[in-house]
Amino acid sequence: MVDPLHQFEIHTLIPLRLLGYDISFTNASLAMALTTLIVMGVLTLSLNVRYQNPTRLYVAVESLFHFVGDMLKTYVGRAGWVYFPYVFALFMFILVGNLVGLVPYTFTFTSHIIVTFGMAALVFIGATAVGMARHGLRFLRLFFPEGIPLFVAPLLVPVEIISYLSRPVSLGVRLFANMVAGHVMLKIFAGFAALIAASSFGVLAVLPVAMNVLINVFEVLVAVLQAYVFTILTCIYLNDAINLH
Amino acid sequence: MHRKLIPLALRVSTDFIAAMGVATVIGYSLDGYLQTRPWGMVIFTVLGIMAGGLNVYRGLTTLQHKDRDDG
Repeated sequence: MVDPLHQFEIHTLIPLRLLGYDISFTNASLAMALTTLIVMGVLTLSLNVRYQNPTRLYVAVESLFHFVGDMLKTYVGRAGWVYFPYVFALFMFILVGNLVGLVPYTFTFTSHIIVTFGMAALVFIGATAVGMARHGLRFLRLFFPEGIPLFVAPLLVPVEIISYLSRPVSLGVRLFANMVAGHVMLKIFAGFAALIAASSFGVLAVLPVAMNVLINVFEVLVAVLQAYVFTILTCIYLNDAINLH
Repeated sequence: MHRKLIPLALRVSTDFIAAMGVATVIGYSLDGYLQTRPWGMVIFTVLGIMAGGLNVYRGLTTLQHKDRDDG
């Protein structure tokens, strides 16, 4: 039986060392570089428009642009528009990264918790910094909203702080867990297919393969949905930081 | 409306568990510093469950609020 977790192993492609740290170029780095190149390539190609004739690619990229833009407008409002480049880059990186990982023989970098948690921590620290810069110490009102009797403070403040600290964890773990679960499931059914094909009922191997086709379609949905969820939560956290209630 | 509920369903469950996990880890490490085992963990797990409930509540009300704005 094939090891379903083997696909998540990191291999060094080009060994590099800097100041005593191992910064080797691995297969995860390759997948990330590939993702970045695809995003940059598609966005650059889409701008190749002559006069009044938008190409299909241009329309597709524009609809993605509006998708993220509308999300930002609905959840944050006009004040959040300055953060559009960051949110759009994050969305495209996760979306294309998830989809690249679905191609056989590639690597899914979003299936490593340190990658997803790194992105989530960046969102968390960024949103906190934005809130602090915009509201100063008034930002701490987030943990104790106005109009609440003082005697509940010893209970409410720790609960609010834990709720705030849990954000990057849930953000990172959700993306990681969804990607890992899907890919492990694919590998397990592929393993069934290999085992059955080798047995005397070889014809029955069609069943797990058919299942795998279905799971693959489902995985495309999960890949897009998780990119969407990550982006929408980024918008919600930015909203909390910008529009203090 | 139903399409909007799928991301929500994926969201709130992790939010609940994450708050509980974070609180338990905080409680456990506080115990290590203050030598108060097991009280920090007990208290913080309870607080974490409350924070998880708050997360779920927030997740649900935010969506409703935004839907009303859309009309």
